[in-house]
Amino acid sequence: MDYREAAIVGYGETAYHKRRERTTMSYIADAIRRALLSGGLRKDDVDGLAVTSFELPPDNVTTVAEHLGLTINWAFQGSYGGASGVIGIAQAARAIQSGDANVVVVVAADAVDVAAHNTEISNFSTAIRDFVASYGFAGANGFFALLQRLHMDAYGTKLEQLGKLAVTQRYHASLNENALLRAPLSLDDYLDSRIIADPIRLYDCVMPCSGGDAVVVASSRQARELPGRPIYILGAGQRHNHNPGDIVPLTQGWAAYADALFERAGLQRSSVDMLQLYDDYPIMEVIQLEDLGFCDKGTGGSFIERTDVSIHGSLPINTGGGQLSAGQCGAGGGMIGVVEAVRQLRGEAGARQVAGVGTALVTGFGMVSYGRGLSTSAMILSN
Amino acid sequence: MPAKPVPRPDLDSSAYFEAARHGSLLIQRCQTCARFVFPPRTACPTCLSSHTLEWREATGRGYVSSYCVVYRPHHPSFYDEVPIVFAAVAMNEGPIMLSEIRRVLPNRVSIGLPVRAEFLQLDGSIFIPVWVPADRPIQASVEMTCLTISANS
Repeated sequence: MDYREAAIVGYGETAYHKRRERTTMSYIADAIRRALLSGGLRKDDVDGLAVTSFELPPDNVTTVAEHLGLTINWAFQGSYGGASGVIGIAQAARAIQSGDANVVVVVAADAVDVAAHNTEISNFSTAIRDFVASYGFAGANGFFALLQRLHMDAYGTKLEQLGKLAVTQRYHASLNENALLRAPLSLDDYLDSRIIADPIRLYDCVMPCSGGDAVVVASSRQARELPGRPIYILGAGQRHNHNPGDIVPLTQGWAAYADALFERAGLQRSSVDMLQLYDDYPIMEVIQLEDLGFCDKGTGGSFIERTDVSIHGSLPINTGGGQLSAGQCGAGGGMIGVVEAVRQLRGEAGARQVAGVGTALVTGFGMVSYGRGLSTSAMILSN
Repeated sequence: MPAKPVPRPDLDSSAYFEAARHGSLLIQRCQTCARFVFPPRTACPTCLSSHTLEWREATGRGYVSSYCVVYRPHHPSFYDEVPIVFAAVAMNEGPIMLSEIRRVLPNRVSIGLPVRAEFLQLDGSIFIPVWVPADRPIQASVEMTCLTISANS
């Protein structure tokens, strides 16, 4: 079943902060307020709520509804980390199609900073707490350093190829006033940056920050009566715990549903106008390009090398700077790509607007446990 | 210097940590499907049997399937130990263990390096396995594994 009876009708993004300037609840409220405003909707139109946030406990989606005075018929709380945004939107679309809800706000936000992130990583799951955190593992940086090392060893992937993603995204961030890292970044800057967990360098890593992102999903019928341009969901997929036991996985969950995703969307890969890839690390963008079928397994590095992935190029990637340059506001990192895709598809991206964009592929990735991210998601959007 | 994060053994993992205290590396094996399982858990991830997981003493041998060299650890208790070689070790029994490679210079580590397990004492009662190149002589005391890299390489 497709998702065409539902549409994304609004989007919002709070200011990103390097420090926890507000509470998580405050970022959630701000992101929702902005998304409703962009959709021409009022608080009382909302009858469904999807929330994802690492810092939210002891609160949850229901207490968020209480705090904000929302009375809802449908609730969802994402347990898939950075994969939750895309999954929450797909679930919301299903709820709207089935008549269980009419207007759903999907929000992801966190008040975090570097220190809070480092504290949390040791307790991210039982497996990490009891079987990893007592080693000098460098948090997620260590896990993805193992993965990058293996990819480089198995396929000859080069630092310069990974660095091109960081450099291009930084250029995009220079055109995004909400990005936290906007100073020009050269390939030499990337290569010479501080080594965190060799081969991972500083500019391979996101900066944990505070903020939030949200979209509003409504029925297509209602969408046509609203002021903004509706953005349609052509297809979505999710997969968790792909290839159990593969602790340093060169192939990940996207490979399981990529073909079905494009088939259901009725789209060739060559017809996708832009990619908003979950970019906790450049190596994960390379693996997604391979798993999603934009190139063969092992050739993601050379694909990046020969492709202009800037907003002026043939396949723009992470046109707002992505998490690598805008910042990773906790679980909000799983929504930044959705919000940027919607912004671009509505033609509201200002200085970084890609000309003639009609379709975008957005991915999510999260729930890092023993060595790897367990959850993947992907969604194709169209205007 | 703050203390290192320590595991919190529970009913599913206490046998593992108790054995580690006596210098023995246990991993689970499913009697139904004969697969080895790590990290410890309550059900076999291959066949979902729950009462057939038995503890077996592992060979404590394996090889490095990937590694990185950590200069910026996740916790201040490791800051004085850098560079730290964090690695995925493919154990002879099959499962991967994430751990540290010790008693070796980082530039001597490579994918495929044969390694064997030793135990590191975290505090009075918790011991965890670390791995050293298989050709390193076996040492009598666990404290020896804490010697600096320069003294051993």
